[in-house]
Amino acid sequence: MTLVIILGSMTSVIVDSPVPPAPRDRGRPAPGALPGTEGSGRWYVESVRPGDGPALRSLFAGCSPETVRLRFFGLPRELPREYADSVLACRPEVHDAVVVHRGDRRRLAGLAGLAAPAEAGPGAAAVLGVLVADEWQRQGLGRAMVDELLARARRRGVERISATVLPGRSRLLDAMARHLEPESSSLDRDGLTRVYRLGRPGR
Amino acid sequence: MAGSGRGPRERMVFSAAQLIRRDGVTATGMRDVAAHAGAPRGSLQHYFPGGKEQLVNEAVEWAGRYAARRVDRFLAELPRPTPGGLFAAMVRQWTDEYENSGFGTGCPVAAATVDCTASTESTRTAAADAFACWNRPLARALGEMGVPAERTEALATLMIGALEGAILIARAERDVRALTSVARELGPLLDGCATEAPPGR
Repeated sequence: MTLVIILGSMTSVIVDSPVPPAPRDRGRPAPGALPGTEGSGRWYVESVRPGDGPALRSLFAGCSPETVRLRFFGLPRELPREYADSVLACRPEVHDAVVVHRGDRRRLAGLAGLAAPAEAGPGAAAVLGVLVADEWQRQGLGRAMVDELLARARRRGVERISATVLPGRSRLLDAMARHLEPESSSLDRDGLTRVYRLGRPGR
Repeated sequence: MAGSGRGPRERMVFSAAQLIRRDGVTATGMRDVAAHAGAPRGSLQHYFPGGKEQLVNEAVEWAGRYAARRVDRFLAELPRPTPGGLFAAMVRQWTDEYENSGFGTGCPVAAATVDCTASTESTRTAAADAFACWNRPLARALGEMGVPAERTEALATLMIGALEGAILIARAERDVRALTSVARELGPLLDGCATEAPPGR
């Protein structure tokens, strides 16, 4: 998947959640400063909306092949329609997705999603995926989106999430482990998948 | 195939190509692909976040690369490479398969073309690119066998087109007649196009 998890920090992130948020989550600013954006306004993490299709395709088109490869493991030439449909359906229980922008939803800097497992059952884990435009990577946007998705997932009662990275990118999953409890890992030629257990809300 | 040295993602692409060439894109389900590849169903979500469309497109691209690589293998097995000999080798791959395994499968690129060109633009593009990928080494090989440069691409297209059409007819008839016919009739025509001394001779 390619957790472009960004461990830097940001000026302020306004979180707008479509699912009933815990009071402390609404409008929670992220700490720290976002380099190079002084005076350029706040960042907003918001739910994907049905009309975001053109902006999502634009975000994808602006990403480098390497960024696309890290997210999709291959090189789709355009935002895969099935994926876009899933995100734009705006059904958080199936595929919860958020975008990050600086006030103009036509110019998205990132997209993150948490897809329900294809098959329910014991140990099933929702699948986390993050895409951040090249110019905004490593500045905290991915982390802000992931935090929001995880907070919502906890409120929905999601117990496990999973993430996969390409071989050699395990530090991205290690970064996740600082905030979540790793439950299992599997490594093969194509990548490393780790499952994390989500704590209950408020923990 | 499962159990080879390939990783699960590559196995799933391979399995998708095998199932598409048997059942077509529409009838091939993600669950079928995971089962054929011996991979957990959930791994499809991880490795193909773009869903079936991404998997199908990658299977089509894989098939194009496979067909392109086969060209060099056919050439290496010919004692004296000629355009007609190369085409006969391409056809023989299919007659061997049909005589040994039945007529249940065709070309995955053709199957994806039939199923998806009207509905999925990205798959149409992937199929067109796969045919182009196959065409390039064929055209190059024809040039190396003395076919004038201005004709190599068109004759490569003729070879692929004749083969794909014969595959389709063979499956319909459950008989390799169409395949052996095009090899027999087209071979001399192709050989007659090699009018120049091969480069380097």
